[in-house]
Amino acid sequence: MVQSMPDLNKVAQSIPLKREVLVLGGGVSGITIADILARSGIHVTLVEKRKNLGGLSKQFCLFSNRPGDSDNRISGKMARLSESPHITLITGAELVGMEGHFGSFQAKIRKESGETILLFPSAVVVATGYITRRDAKGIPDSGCLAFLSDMERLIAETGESGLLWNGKPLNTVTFVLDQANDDIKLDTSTVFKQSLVLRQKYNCQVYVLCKDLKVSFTSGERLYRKAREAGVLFFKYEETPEYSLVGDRICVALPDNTNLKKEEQEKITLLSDLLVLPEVCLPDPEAEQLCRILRLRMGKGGRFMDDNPQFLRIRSNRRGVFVAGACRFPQLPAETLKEAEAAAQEITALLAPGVYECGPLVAEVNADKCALCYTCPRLCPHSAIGIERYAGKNVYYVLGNGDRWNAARVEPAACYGCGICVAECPARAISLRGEDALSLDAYAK
Amino acid sequence: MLVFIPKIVAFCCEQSGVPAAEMAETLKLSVPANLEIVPVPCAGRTETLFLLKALERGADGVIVFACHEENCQYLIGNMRAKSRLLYAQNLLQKIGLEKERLEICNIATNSGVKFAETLKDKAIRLKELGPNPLTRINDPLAHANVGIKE
Repeated sequence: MVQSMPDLNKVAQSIPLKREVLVLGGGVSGITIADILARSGIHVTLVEKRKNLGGLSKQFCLFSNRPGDSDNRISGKMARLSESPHITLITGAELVGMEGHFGSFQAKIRKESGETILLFPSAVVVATGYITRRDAKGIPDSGCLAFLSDMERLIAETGESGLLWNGKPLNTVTFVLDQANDDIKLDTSTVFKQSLVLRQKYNCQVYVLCKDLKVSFTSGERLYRKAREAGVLFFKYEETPEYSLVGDRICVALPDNTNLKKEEQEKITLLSDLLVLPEVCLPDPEAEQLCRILRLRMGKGGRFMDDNPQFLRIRSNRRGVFVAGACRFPQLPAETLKEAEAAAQEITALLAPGVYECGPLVAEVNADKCALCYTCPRLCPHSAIGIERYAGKNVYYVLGNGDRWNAARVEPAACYGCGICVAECPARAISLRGEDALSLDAYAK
Repeated sequence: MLVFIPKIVAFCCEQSGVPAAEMAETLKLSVPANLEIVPVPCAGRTETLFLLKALERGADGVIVFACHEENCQYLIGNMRAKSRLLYAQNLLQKIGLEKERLEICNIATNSGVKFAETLKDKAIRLKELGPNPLTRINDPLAHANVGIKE
């Protein structure tokens, strides 16, 4: 009943691959990817926009529930990076242009000093992360406000002695979740871990205000139960709580939702030494520019890639370009590490044979029929089509002997063989090499 | 008695339509008798011309089985197929054919039952629409699809 597409591996072309990779972003995922790749003998160039590596890793000292653990691991990796012969570190630099396709990218890196470096990697990983903003709208300005990263640093820096905030001892702490970052689980996990440490190690009274707790991560339920057992108090709120200052402490007032009758609901007031809010996670404003340079697709909200289940995790719309870490979506550090491992594994597998055998289905342009209408380069979801130019000029050009210099050209290494361009070409100049011509010919002529 | 069994051409995306067809076959679900399945690497491969040629060559109805929206392996294939189909429907109306003869159906790999149901529905609706008038023009003596015994 069903005929399937033929396997015409005979016509496959092979493209040599250098063992060179460009990693953009020196945060948790960028460092991890570079570390794994370098250990398997692949040369990595790590480009970081800031002066030093590490990114936001400082904010996650507690991410494996062991204080200091993440720092050790990340700093250990960073130490290995600077020693490894396979890694070139370029800090204070950014990508300003990229041409070419999988196996033969040409990336232009500009340093802050104005110096331009040209690189020829086989594959590119985007791990540029996200940015955070401290947003304390509607909260009285005083010394009683901190953000999760401040708390993380405070816990990491304080030893066995009591916690001090602005010179005063810290006895009660209130966390308010879910004011921003609607679908990000990161805050919930950080608050669980911090409140457990505050409760168990420093014997603080901890209140957590939340809308819906997001526990759908590894050991999320367990951490929540542990926090409840340790005596952390959770309050559910719907409308924004009221904040006021009482002396040098902060008071948070919210209706008691446990009483179902609205008119009988009493107000709960929580007086605490410190109010802790999560930072708002935002996509990097430079992501848009980077998407344009790399010819990647941009999803909703300014992050990399569409919300498409076929493109979860590290895949991007171009072959040889990978997206890892929080630049696609902010996640728990543990998940980010897994993603980085996956990206490194994928690249190792792709580069290991030394050559890339093009798939059985590859689009081809008949240059004689091409009218340079630019339909296919605009349409190709994999950015596999470019225009061949003669002498750098973009002109329609017929030579005396009938040869034409300018035409669209499909890069076989980048083509996935979907046939969208074939179907769309108004001049019918594109064909799918390796396609079972007979089954479709009946409908094409 | 001679009855009209509509001829249906189904363009099936290799990512969703073909596995669904195979599943329908495995489950031994009944599909309309006069059916031709054409596998395409992606629904985006079906040209406007394919849809029109299929009708010209005697099909009474054409259906494109594409992946669900925002679920295309090639990102935009299903959307391109849809927009081409809408364009072809436009052309059909201009020449006086019913646009209902062309249809797109979003389907997943595991929807063998939906595959069979959609085709059965399509066959019933095509029976109501009647045979494709183009076949009578091309071959005035006999209608290709009338005369198959049920």
